[in-house]
Amino acid sequence: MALHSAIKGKLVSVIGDEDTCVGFLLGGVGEINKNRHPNFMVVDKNTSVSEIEECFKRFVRRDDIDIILINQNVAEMIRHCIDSHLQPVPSILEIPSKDHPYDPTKDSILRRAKV
Amino acid sequence: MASDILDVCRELDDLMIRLLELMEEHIQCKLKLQDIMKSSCLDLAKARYIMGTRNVSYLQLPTKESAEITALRTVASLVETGKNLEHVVFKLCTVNPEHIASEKQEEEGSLRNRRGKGEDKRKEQDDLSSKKCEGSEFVTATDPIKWFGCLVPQNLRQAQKGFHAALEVVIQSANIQSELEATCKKFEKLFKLKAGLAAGKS
Repeated sequence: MALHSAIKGKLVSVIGDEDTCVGFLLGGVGEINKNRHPNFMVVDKNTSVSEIEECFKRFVRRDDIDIILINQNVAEMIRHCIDSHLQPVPSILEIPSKDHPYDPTKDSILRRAKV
Repeated sequence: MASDILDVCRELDDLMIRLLELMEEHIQCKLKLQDIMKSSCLDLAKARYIMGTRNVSYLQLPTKESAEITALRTVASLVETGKNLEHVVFKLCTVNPEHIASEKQEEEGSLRNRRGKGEDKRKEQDDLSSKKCEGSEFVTATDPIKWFGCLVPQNLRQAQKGFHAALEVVIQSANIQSELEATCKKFEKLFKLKAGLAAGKS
């Protein structure tokens, strides 16, 4: 086993409900960079799918983000975007939320592995 | 030719077993994350009950208008090669807020020392502006729990600890996912190779 090509520390971004965002930001992952771009998005009942999609694409384009955490119920709304992302970095992790428990049948990675 | 196919088949079997193991680990990891998040959200709810609904919400999170904020927990990624499988490995990096503040102060100090002796007036102005900067940077590198006030309930601290643990599980899950994807790709590649070899044989 060999380790090589070290890269400097990058961000973990969060797209999710209020508690998920508050929690992970409390955990210390939140950042607002020099251009005033945050690495998180709070999704509530008034947030449109296009807004989530746009935010997700923006996070994927950013080269300072290595992991995107997204609530599974939010991921369901932009499933086509998540399925089309095939690069290993940024890694997209579907996480459960307070109101929506984890469902392995909806996880895009497991569905890809099954095929 | 026959031994080639046998080798490929053997490797495919090994990969399939590893794939199933990884899928199991992936699900277990997500369920573990779910448990941690559930208990941490309960702590957040208790803190909300003590402090008031609006005092533990997204309203306390920094916005585009607020000062620049540095992440205290980041990830470092490395490419690991083992058993002919190349995949990304993530590692959690924890930054000490005091360390960031002292580093920035040192940077400023060295910049201030570069000025000549005859620039006393400018130096005074510099000192004033740097004090302002230090103040704002202290805010940026502060512990996120301070966004919610100075005297926060114990539940909020427990929630923070829970989300720290959740982050570690997230990294573990990201590593499993990365290996899973790499294994899948290799499996598909070998499967095509096997089909090619079988077609050549017939």
